[in-house]
Amino acid sequence: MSKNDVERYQADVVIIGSEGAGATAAVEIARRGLSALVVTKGNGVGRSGATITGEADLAVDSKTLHERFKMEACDPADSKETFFQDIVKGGKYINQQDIVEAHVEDGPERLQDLLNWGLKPLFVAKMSGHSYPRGVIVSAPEMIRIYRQKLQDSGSKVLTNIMVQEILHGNGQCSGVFGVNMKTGKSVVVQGKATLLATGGGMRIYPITTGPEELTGDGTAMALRAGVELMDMEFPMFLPGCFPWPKAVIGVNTPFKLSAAGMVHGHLLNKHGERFMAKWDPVKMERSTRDILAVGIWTEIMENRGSPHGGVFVSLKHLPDNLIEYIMEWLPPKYLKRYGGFDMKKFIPDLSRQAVESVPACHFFNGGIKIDVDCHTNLPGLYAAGEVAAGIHGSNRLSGNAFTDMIVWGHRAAVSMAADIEKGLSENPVDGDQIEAYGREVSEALERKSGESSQALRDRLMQTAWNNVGIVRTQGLLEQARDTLQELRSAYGNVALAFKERIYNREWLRYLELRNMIDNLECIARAGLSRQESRGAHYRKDFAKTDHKNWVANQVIKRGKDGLQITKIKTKITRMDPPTTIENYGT
Amino acid sequence: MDQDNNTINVKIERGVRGKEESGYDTFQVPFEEKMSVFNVLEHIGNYLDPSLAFYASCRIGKCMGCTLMVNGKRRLACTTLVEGDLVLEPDKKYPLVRDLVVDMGEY
Repeated sequence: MSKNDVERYQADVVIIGSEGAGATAAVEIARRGLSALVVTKGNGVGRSGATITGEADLAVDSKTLHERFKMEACDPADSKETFFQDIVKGGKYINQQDIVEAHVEDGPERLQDLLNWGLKPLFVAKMSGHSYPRGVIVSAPEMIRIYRQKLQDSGSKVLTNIMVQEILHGNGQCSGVFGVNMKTGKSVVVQGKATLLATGGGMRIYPITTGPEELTGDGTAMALRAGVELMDMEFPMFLPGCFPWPKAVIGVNTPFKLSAAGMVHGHLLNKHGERFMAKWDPVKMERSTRDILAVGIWTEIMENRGSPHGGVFVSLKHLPDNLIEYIMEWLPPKYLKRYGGFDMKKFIPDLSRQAVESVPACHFFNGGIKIDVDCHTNLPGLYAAGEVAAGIHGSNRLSGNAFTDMIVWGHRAAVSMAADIEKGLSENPVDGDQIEAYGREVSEALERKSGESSQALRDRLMQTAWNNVGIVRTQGLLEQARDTLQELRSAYGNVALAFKERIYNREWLRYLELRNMIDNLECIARAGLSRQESRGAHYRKDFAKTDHKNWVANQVIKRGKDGLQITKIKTKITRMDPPTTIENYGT
Repeated sequence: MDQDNNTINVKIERGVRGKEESGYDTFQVPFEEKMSVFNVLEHIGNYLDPSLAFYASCRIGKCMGCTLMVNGKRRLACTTLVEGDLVLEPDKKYPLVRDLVVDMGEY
């Protein structure tokens, strides 16, 4: 690789990810008089990431919404303390409590920023898991419009279509990132005094997901390869109620809206017509919490009592026809009939005659890069914020906290990076050999004449994620996954891409993603295997109890010389003592 | 659409920056009820011709990243349902990168 083949960029702060957390950080960095360079895999701001997909509520304690923001339908009986407690209870006591404190404290300030920038909240709703109405409903496209404007005004440069693949580091400090510019096919080196990963989750590892195409866990994987610690990787959460079919709308959450989520009391049925939630939560039935619903539905599917397209059924047929008609009349027009740009009338049958099929879809990564309250990772100069970071949500995220997460932690990362630069954090020279080596590595499969098919490996990885590392796990399933992943990893080293050109080679891009997907799934499977209990988004059929006696703990994952090292650490407790008993899952 | 074996013909304009409008390729794709143009592209790119370039992100008609020309009209690949044979071309409002991928700029 000659020097001319590398595109080089530089700024005070390098931000990987252009949406919620990344955009928030870039705006704040620019406001503090530093230069920010935003690097995205997407085809422009607003054209990638989960932010735009959110049907979005943003959680802030109801008291502040009432008193400070004068919002309607809020309850001053709430407090930041109660919000804190709900988050920790929802996360099943393994949230890092210092991080939750900061989250609850900063939320109102960041909401204020958004209001100052012109965001118009629609209304406030009480969402599941919250003791009070805290869900400030906002339009995600409206938020994106504001971020676009603020980023443009801030003068931050955005590099688009960059597949960032590795963290550059030396002498125990981060130097920036290495990647491939898909538009030119050339290697890219982006250097800065501080580097922020705001790359979101890895939901695309699973074949059915609410997440967008490009969320393949890139940030966690490149961090892991750079020796950075991850945490809580066993907790990808699933939304229990998405279409498994038809193809165009796989992952759309209409069945959830007809059953568990909202205003319509649909029944969940298996292929025998049985209301199977009675086995899990005979009182709340379809109104049980999302984690229990996911386990209940998944068990029916696994034990061959599911629907033809791999889900279960949601039915309204227990209701009289004229009531169903009336429901369709009084529901807000967009609630069922629109989803994003879809006209859902084409996909929803006559509900007085037919059920819809429903499957849990991977929705959010609770785990990720281990951070402190100032977004530091264990590699100086490298920071993480938003969904890619771990610690806030514990084993299960409350509704609305994904949006609060990105605005609070994107901002905190910016403040922290600016403070560290002020204190003397400076550029760490980039190691030329490292760039050379990464350049060779990403090109290997382009040059290899014959070998494995990247797509075949990707298909196998996704099947393994779904069948073995899904919602209901056992030692056998997870061990099988661990072995399959070993095979996939060695096959990966022998991939030969069919298409050899470098400019926007989609096969190449997906091959680079595949490495990250393998790394992520290995972390999920291994952490799932060693957590011998059930909690939040992690359910072990062979260890079905929630063991507060032994497992109010987090698992930190680091790559060592002999593979992954998993260390069990005590959860950081500041003011809410967890239970010490062994309980039934979900109680 | 070929009713007998239930496939559709999908004609796609190919090209790369500096060598735009390099002609069309036609693919036969199995038809399914309520599949989107994006599902068709995914099938071709993953299983028929890995050199095909296209971009998509949200798959639900919000990010607008998959804008392209479908039978001569500007559409989103993800929310446009397939009813029969297709002609797919890049959105020529933007500079071409490859095939259906265009450079939409930073914002």
